[in-house]
Amino acid sequence: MLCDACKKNEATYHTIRQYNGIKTETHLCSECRRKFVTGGKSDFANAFFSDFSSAFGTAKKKRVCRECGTTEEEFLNTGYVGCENCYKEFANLILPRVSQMQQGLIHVGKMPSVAASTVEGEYARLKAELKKAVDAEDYERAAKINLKLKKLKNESQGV
Amino acid sequence: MTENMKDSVISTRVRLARNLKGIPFPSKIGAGQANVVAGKVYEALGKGYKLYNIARLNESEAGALVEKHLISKELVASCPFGSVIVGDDETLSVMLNEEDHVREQVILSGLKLEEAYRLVDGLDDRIGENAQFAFSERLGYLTACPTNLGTGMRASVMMFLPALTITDTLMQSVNALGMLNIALRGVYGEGSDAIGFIYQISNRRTLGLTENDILGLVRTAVNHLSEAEERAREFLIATREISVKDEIMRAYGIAANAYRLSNQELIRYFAFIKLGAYYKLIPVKRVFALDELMTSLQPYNLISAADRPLNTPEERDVYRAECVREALKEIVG
Ligand SMILES: [Zn+2]
Ligand SMILES: [Zn+2]
Repeated sequence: MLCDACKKNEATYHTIRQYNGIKTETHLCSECRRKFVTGGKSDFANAFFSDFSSAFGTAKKKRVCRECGTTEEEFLNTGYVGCENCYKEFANLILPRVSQMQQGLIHVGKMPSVAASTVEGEYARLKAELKKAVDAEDYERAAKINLKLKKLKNESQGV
Repeated sequence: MTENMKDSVISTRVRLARNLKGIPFPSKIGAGQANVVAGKVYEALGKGYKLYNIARLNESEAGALVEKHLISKELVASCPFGSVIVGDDETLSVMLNEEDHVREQVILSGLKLEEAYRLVDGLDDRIGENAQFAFSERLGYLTACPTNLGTGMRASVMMFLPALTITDTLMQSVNALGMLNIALRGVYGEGSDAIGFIYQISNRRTLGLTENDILGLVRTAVNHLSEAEERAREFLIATREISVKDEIMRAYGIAANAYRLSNQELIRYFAFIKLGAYYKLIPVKRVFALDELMTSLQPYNLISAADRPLNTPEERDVYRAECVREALKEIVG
């Protein structure tokens, strides 16, 4: 299969994505991938490159992360954030796209032991589990988790 | 059928991306902070691990680590404060200050997704006890690129898919996996084509699903591709028997007898020898020995293991052919 971009080399990078039911395929040779995808940009920037420029092309790009100095423009160009605070600073840019390309916007996987040991952490974990149960239409399980959540809430208020 | 029996699976890798709380991510980090990151992680692991500062390695030392898939090309090319911690058996490694502060990974041969995750999870626990990770209850582990948010996990399986490639049905098979959001990438194909028929299959999504979900969908994709590959191999031998046999036996004949062998030739001939083993045309005792041999014969590994200096491409090609002639006597027969 030939590269989509140069139509000369054999494509060695194949990507299939499904966003909201729309399937897109990309086939690139490593040269073109380096040129178009990597070249200092993350996959994230690449996936939404045209999106970003059309939606924010001429709009004000004034925001700057107070913690690390990453500018809005810098983020839009590279797709990389500079620190954890950037996720707060640029939330309105990042989250809609993340929800499109990811399975959802709520983490349901492993938690660091420090976070998991706090009441808030446990609460968040249960809430995520609850969402999963509801999504899977497992209402019996959802009811059980709900009960645990209530108990946790009462306990933490008691302290 | 044990997992090792399937020659379409070469190896499994599970990687977790993490950053330390309160320190800017590598694109904004300073030398001092980068040292803090490396120090904290190394402290957590200690005995049984070695720390290498990439800037202090010479080209062939760094190149050998890339060829063994212990570090990325990017760590060498564009990460000024990059370093790596490698476990003594080279199964576990941790890249430091690459795209993220911490990239923990485990590589095992064969299809061993659960085992690889269990190992990297343990490694992550140890590091997490000594360093607080940047984590949000909503978005999970915070990573430099939003494509890794949530679990920060990439589970990938290296697969050998010659028949799907030759019959030009690979993309068709991958298409059938649409809903799984799987990425496929050729491994040994610089510019030209996927000469070794080797690909990497990995998950695209990291947020909104659990580590187990990810392992499950990668496993589904791998099983699907293995089965499709098997069918394609039967089709291939049924429809093009003479040309397939001819290609295989020529590859074996040259590899076993040549006095000069370039790396490109090595990759191509080994692919056909493996296919020959599958069709029982070549009595290969252990297919995995061919995969190991191929890694050890990649340019930088070849140089560092050689009994003499290999300064020119000619010297390397001659030495490579010598190694292959000797090794094939052991592996085949
Ligand atoms: Zn191209
Ligand atoms: Zn920031």
